[in-house]
Amino acid sequence: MSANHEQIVAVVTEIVTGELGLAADSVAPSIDLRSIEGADSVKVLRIVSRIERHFDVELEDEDVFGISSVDDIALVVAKSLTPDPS
Amino acid sequence: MITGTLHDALDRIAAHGRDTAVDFPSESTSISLGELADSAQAMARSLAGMGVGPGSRVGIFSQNAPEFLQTLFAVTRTGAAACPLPLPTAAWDLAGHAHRLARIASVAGIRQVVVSSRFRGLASRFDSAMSNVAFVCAGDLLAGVTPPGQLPVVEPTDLAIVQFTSGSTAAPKGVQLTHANALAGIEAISEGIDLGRDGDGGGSWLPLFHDMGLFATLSAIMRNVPMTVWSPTSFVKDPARWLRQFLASGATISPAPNFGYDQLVAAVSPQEAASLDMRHWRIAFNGAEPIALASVERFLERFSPAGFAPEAMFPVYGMAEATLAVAFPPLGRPPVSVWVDRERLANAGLVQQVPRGHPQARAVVGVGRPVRGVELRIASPDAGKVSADDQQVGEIEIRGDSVTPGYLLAEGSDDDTFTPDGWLRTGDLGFRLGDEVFVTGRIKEMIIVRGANFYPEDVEGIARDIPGVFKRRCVAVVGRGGNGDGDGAELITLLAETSLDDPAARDRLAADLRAQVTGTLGLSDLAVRLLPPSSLPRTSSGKFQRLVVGERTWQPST
Repeated sequence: MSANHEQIVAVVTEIVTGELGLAADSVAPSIDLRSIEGADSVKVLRIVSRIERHFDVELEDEDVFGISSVDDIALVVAKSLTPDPS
Repeated sequence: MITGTLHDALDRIAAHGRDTAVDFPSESTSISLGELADSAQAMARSLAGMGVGPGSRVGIFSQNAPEFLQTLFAVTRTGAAACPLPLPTAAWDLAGHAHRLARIASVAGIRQVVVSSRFRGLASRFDSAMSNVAFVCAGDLLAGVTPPGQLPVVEPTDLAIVQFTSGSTAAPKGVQLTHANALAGIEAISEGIDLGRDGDGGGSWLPLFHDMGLFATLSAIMRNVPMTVWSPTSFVKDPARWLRQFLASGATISPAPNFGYDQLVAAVSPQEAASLDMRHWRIAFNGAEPIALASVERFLERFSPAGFAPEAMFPVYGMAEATLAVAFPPLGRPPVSVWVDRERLANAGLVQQVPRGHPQARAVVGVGRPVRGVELRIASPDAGKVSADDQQVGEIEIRGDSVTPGYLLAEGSDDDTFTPDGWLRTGDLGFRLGDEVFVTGRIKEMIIVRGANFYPEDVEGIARDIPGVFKRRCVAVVGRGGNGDGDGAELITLLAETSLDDPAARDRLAADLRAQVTGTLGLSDLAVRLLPPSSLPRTSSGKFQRLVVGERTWQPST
């Protein structure tokens, strides 16, 4: 499966806004999700779970710990979609 | 009875249960007890080669993985004490977490932190905040990259584990446990649930750095019982999937805090529940935070069609200071509870039973009786006197083989942990009815408003069910009114999270909260502040850090 960054950002944005009950255009990719009402750590994990199912990937906890924006999530997703060079 | 040290006990168990395994499905790996004992031995030599030995305290920074357990047994084998360190949760402020870890390292005198291979990168982000600490990769210790050192003889009275509990005050407190304490605590848990029956298996999604997750796992190991350890995130991400995996694993015993049972009810529909087979789930520990009768009842109602037995719901009382377990219900008994007059309880410390529908009725769930090796008494609120009256609420005091000899504290902290006659003050309030122990709240959380006492738990208990409060999240704290000169009357401020943003709806919610709480409790005044979701801190055990919140300046809205 291949997807470029913009495509991933679009899907992640859709999932994030869907899970938080927000309008699709209300979350800029760089906005700190923690500043959004309703985006607590349980919600963020549920978002991650939906993203995992959508892309059929498993995101590592240690990558998820640091995320705070749609851009961050998209980078983690992109990383998990890239074949391991080793 | 297991005696000696934790690692000797592991060796003895592994000698005849080599192939019994601890599974880590979230890591797609498992470790047998034989491998665990052998690898911990090799790792201990590597640590000793680095100068770790008696008197050292070594941090463990690991997800739920074999490396956590290997490091634990390796550290104790060197004569050092292991300090499990809390992990950040998703979206946690990493800088804040680094600061928390640095304070723990400083109080405990930690010089080395063993990091799991997966968290190597994450730990490197703490380097600048923890410059006096060396991060060592568990994988390197296992591979023996340092020249091995000699292992000393370790005594049962030596320190094995320093557990940094939830930390509701600014300075972290480390609960010190000797090998003898830890083994007595494991024995108490095991005997209390008759662990090791044919077909027994444990399953847990709690973090291993938390006392309940750690000692649930160690208890299974020491009874040669197979154990499955999921990651906490795998539960939170999808509680229903976790439940299916737990049931499929054949495990019979699982621990969780009260909110875990709420999450399962929310995640599994009645139709789905009816399709499950939960008959083999024999013990569902419910502990580590206040137990809500409503949660217990909702869980039993939802899952009894799947064959979940009422007596499998096992509300318990415990704390890191007692290794883990303090009181367990008798086996085979469904949960018991009493309804008491909340005003009499708060104001006079008296237990007066009232009917369930009574306007002042508050439910308290029973947690059974003291476990093996632990004595429990209810101290009288009048200093020095021990209550002989069953109807009196008092501070719960404990002593016994599994109870800590004391805390590691920041320098200059007062230590009033023990009574002059050697009992540990738990800070929890409770009472006894017959043999049954009931926990009602914590001493420091009691609020005196104009001469009358109120439990913030009561304020929260009413407020959290009011529509508009986000995920039942609210904290009640005490402060003083007036102009900030500190001489106003004590006032309760209720901090409630809400996702409402329409000003009229917010005003309505604040008014509802004030009306319901003051009306129900007879409280004359209540300040309400609405906060965005996730503004209130939670401790690693899920309790709100009420004291931390209370120390902040929350000006009542004017």
